[in-house]
Order: sequence, then C-alpha cells, then structure tokens
Amino acid sequence: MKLYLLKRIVLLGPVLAGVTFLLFALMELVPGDAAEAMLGPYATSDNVQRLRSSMNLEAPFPERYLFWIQNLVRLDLGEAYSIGRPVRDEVLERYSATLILAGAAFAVALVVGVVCGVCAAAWKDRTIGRLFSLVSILGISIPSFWLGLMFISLFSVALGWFPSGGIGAIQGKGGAGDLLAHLFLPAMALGIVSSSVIAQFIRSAMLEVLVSGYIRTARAKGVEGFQVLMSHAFRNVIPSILPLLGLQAGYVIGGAVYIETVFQWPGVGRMLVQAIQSRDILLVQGGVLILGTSYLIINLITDVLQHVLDPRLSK
Amino acid sequence: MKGVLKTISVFAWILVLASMLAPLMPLPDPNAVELGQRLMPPFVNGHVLGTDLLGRDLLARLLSGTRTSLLVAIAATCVSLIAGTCIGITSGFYGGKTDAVLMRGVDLVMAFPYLVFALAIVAVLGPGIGNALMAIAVVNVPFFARTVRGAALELAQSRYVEASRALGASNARLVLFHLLPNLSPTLLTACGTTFSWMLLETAGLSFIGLGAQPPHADLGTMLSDSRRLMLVHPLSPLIPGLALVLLAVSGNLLAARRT
Repeated sequence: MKLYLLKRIVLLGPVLAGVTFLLFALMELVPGDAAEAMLGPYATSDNVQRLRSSMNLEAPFPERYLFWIQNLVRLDLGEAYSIGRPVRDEVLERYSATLILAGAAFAVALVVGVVCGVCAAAWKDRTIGRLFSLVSILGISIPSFWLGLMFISLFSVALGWFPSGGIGAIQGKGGAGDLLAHLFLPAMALGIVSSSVIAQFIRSAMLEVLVSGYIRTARAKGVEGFQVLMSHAFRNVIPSILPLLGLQAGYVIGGAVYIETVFQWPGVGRMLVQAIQSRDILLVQGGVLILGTSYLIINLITDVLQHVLDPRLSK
Repeated sequence: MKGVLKTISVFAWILVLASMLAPLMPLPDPNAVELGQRLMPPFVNGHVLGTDLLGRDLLARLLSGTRTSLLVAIAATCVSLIAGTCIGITSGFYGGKTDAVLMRGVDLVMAFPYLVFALAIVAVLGPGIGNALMAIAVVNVPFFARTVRGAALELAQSRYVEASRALGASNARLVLFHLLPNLSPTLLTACGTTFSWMLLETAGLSFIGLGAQPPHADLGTMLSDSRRLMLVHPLSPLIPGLALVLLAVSGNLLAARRT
C-alpha cells in the first residue's frame, strides 16, 4: 500500500511537468505581443522594447519555460495587468470562494446521488425505480446555468427566500448563516445536475451486486432489508464509484465557472472569464493552473482511497 | 413513462425542423432592433413569443438560436469524432511506441478538468462561436480517442484482419475497409452521448460571453440576455432554456436507445 502511494506521488511529477508545459506552450500561441497588449495606448516601439526585455520575452522558448517554472516554484506568477495586483494573491483569494462552492456542490451531488441511486436500485420494479430512468435522463440534459437561473426566478425573485447572488450581504453582519444563505442556491444548482450521473452509476453497480450470492445468503439468514442494502450491498459498491467521483469533481470544478457567473460568486471561474475577456494571459494561466492542480490532487486522493478500501487492487 | 419520452422526442423534432426551415418562414429578421416594440408580451403585434429588450422578435431569435446551437454542436461532434478516430485508430492499430506517445498526450489533456481546458483554449483563440466550437471539440478528442483505441486494439488482433494481411493487404486498406466499418457502431454511440454534452457546453460558453458574439445569438446568449430581465420578467429564461433541455434530452434518448 505504502509502495503504491509512493509510486503515485512520484508519478505526479511527470504529470505536473507535462501539465505546466502544455499550459505554458498554449499561452505562447496567443496571437499578438504580450507587451503591446499590456501597454495598450502607450505601446510606442521604445516602450514595447523596454517592457519586452524586462519581461524576459526576448529569450528562446525553453529558457522562458524554465524561468517561468522557477518563478512558479517560488509561487511568483507575475502581475495581472488587468487588475494591477499579483496573480498569486488574486487567485488564492478567489480560490477559497471556489472551494466553498465546489465543496458544497459536491456534497449535494454525493448525498442526492447516493440516495437516489440506492433507492432506484432497491425499488427498481416500483414506480420510483421506473420514474428514475426518466428523471436521470432529464438530470444529465439540464444545464446547470439554466437551473441556476430558474432557481433565482423561483426562490429569489418570486418567493424571496434566498439572495440571488454574491457571497455575503453587503450590509450584513457576515458569519456562517449569511454565507449558507448565499451558498444554498448555487450549490444546489451545481450539485443536482452532477448528482444524476452519480445516481445512474450507483444504481447499475447496486443492481449488479444485489443479485450476488452473499446478498441472498444474508437475506436467507434473516438480515433486515435496509441493512442488506446499506451494509452488504452499498458497502461493496463504494470502491468502484471512487474513480467516478474523481471525474465528477472535475465536472463540478468546471461547472463552477458557469454557476459563479450566474450567481456572481467571486471565485476563480468568474475571474477566468473576466481574464479571458480582458486578455490577461497571466491571470488565465494562474486560474487554470490552480484548478488543474486541484483536479490532479482530487484524482490522486480518490485513487489512493480506492486502493485503501479495496486492497486487492494493489496486488 | 414511454409516452412522456415519446412526447419529448416529438417536440424536439418539431423544434429542429422549425429551426432548419426558419429562413423560409415569414418571420421578422432575428437581429432587427425595433426599440418602439421593446418587451412586448406574447401574441401582440404579430410577435408570437413577444420581443426582447431591444424589440427583437423572440420566436425568430429562438429558432435562429436553436439552429446555431444545433449546427455548432454537430460541427463540434464531427471535428472531435474525426480527430479522435484518427488518433485512436493509429494508436490501436500500430501499438508500441506510437501508442504510448499518443496516449500520454491524451492523458495530458485529460489531466485538466475539461471545461477549464476549454477555457484555456478560448483564451488563446479569443472569444467567438467558431473558437468556442473548436475548444469544446478539442477537449472531447481524448474521449473519442480512448474509445476508438480500445475497439481498434481488439479488431486489429482479429482473424479477418490477420487473414487479409496475409493476403497482402496494405495498412491503409486494412484501416479503411476492415477497421473503420467495424468501428462504426462504437463511433455512432459515442457521437450520440457527446452530442448533447457539446450542445450544452457550447451554449454554456456563449452564456458566459465567450461563444456567439452580438448581434448573433445561440441559445446560450439568449439565456444570458434574459438574465438582465429577470427582476421584471422572472420567466424570461424559461423558453430558451426549455429549448436547450428539449434538444439535449432527445440527444441523450437517442444515445440511450443505441446502447
């Protein structure tokens, strides 16, 4: 087990190198001159020349990549010209907001997905089970940003139960209650949409397990239905859903870009959209880097967790 | 249950047909601004669905937006299908080092959450519907490449490929006449499942302002326009969103039927 963990962590090195290289190379392809874009109306040839050499833009590509990596290791991602502050500060500040939103949405997805998936498998011949196939197809077909808009229409505009956007009331006292009120609608919109994939997967995995011999034995011994379902069947399904959870985490991180736009949530996703519109490449780089790295780490965790829960995989 | 699904499909087909035939219908220009006619309710002055903030006919916009969204999703699926199939077949058929190099490249793209990588591509290419299409297509290439590689790997070992190789068939012939026809069921299913996803994601990029640029609209920009009216007309995002869901549901239903 320890060996596997070590192997995975060592393997993360080349992946990170590849990911950073891909990102750096991609941003190199941006048309136009970075120095010219930054200077805007002050882009006289003299100024451009000076800025280019101060930004190390004259050096050949491999040298610039190494220079960039060196700065990256020191957590120096440069200065975002569109907002006039270091990329690192901006990204880290917004990252906590994204983590809160994505974490809450993921929790919603997990709870709704598990409950619906298990119920659909347990009552597959009843109306609930049959209704599930319809609802789950609807679930994967509803865009989270539209669901968010409809939530605002219903719960914010018509009923006035929840605030329609932002992370906290402007004149409010702040605190956990305020945050929860602002978090509820975005987390629901994002979580419900990604729960349908989880539910579908759990349902089919459960149906596979429920026909196996040990379930019949347990039932024959007189174990109660609910206990058979949860501690016999569902427990064995958990290791196989972990990789899917890793993938869904990626979906939630990506979907946060939309939801942050709908609910004006001050996260990395919304920052990315604004950075793209103002062509602030360094800020884009920083945002993509932190979301990409989080995704890698989440997948590392689900992988390792899968091996912990199912030691047969390590053999 | 079957009835509900059938009704949804019928409505989706009506929407698709209407959007394709929209240029032939007696509808106002979807981009014609008429400020005197702003925010008309439905069925007033010949505007069946009413008008938007700039007095543009909502029905005409809905149909032209649906057409744009559909065509973009189909084009993105095709681009991704072709690129993914080429990579997958090369990888599965030749194996060895070619396979290793190509698959590491695919892994690299998959190391990013896909929408985030699509955003990085849009950042490079700049906002616009064509660029959004390319970005969404590129992030889906690994999906096709992996699916095709798996199937091609199996087919390349099969007896009839071995037999035609023994008869002296060239690699090109083996790929074109033996592998591709046998891969087509796999490819069709993969297209079905990705189409709906492409539809929603390209609309999403338009929604956040990185896809279709004004005055042209797809369903995503229509949704983003309707956001501004939500305080006065809370139901304004309903119709473009329903159109999007309708198309995505029927795409997913088609895919589900194939599997």
